[in-house]
Amino acid sequence: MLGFRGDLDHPGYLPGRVYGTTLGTANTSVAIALVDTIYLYPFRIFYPVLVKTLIARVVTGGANSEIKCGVYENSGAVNQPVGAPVIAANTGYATATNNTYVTMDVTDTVLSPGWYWMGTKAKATLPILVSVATNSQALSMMGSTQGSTTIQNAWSFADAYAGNMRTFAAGDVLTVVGAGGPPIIDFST
Amino acid sequence: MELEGLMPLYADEKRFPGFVSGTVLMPLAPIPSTGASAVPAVDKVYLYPFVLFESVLVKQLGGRVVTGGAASSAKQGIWANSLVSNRPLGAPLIAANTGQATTGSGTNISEDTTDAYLGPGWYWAGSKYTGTLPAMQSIAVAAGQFRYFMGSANGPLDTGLSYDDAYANDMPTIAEGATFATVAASGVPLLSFSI
Repeated sequence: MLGFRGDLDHPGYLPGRVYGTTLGTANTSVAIALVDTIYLYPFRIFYPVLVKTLIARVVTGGANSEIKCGVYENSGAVNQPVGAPVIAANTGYATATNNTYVTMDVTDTVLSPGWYWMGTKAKATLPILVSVATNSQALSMMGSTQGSTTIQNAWSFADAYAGNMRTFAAGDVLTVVGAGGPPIIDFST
Repeated sequence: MELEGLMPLYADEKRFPGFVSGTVLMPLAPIPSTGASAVPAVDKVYLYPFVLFESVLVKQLGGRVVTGGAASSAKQGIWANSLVSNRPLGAPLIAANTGQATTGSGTNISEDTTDAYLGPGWYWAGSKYTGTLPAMQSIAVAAGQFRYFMGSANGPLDTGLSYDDAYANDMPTIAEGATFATVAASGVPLLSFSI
């Protein structure tokens, strides 16, 4: 193990498993705040990994609700999501049923080591998904604006649910999310 | 780009401040923890992964009893990580097989173990219980570490693994491909070690 010190950052990905994208304690009691809004939090990939599905957990379903998800590359210039999603679940997956796991089939995609953003948008009666903790300060490593709160859990950006997960452009002005609710999305290998 | 291979000393200093002999540590700290949930069942080893960034000489294993259980006690161990499966493997590298009473609320337990060096790398800490189950200082329910580092199955939030093993036995030797259950809805008890 001494030959490759990166092993100490993460023990590696194995096929056929579900991997989380967040450390810390997840929130299971806060609904997604707004429809037609992408919520984004940063996560790190340690080794090249073939991603086959994205997975959300529904705690309390919302009538007629659905989600779409996307993984975005991180812009080294501004440490924000940039470009089209490198993985997208644009079909829309129902989040109406309590205590269920929503598996979103995506095009098998290799993610290279680095920083990424996980984005989710929803519609209809907004569900409670397993989400980033209310005081996670997930943006603290990436830098953000002060905003109206000192709590910096995620970015949000308006994006109509009906469309595919959007392409982020240089100069997009994102909004700091101080409350809870940005859904945590796992991936399977 | 990984520069650690070129500058291991500098990189390790950034990553971890170093072990100080005579201190007590909880592996993988800081980790969100709770004292609110009792150990779920007797005769199961509850296991969670942790990483060591440098070699350390371990002298004792221990833990924290938040709410004691009548006639309860704990055994503890440290296992190597299987590079094949990212699960515990083999005989325990360090074992506290005598058993320590976990009856007193708000107390620390510790057992002298054979002094053993652990090198840098990934390990699993495990503990099993008997009697009226106590509430130990445990990984917070819904903490993401286990799934983030080791991978799990599609299912509820989980904080580690359990492995069936009668309390009366010494801490078990775990074979490659052994069957584990995931632990959801409660925390896996945290171990401390003295160095």
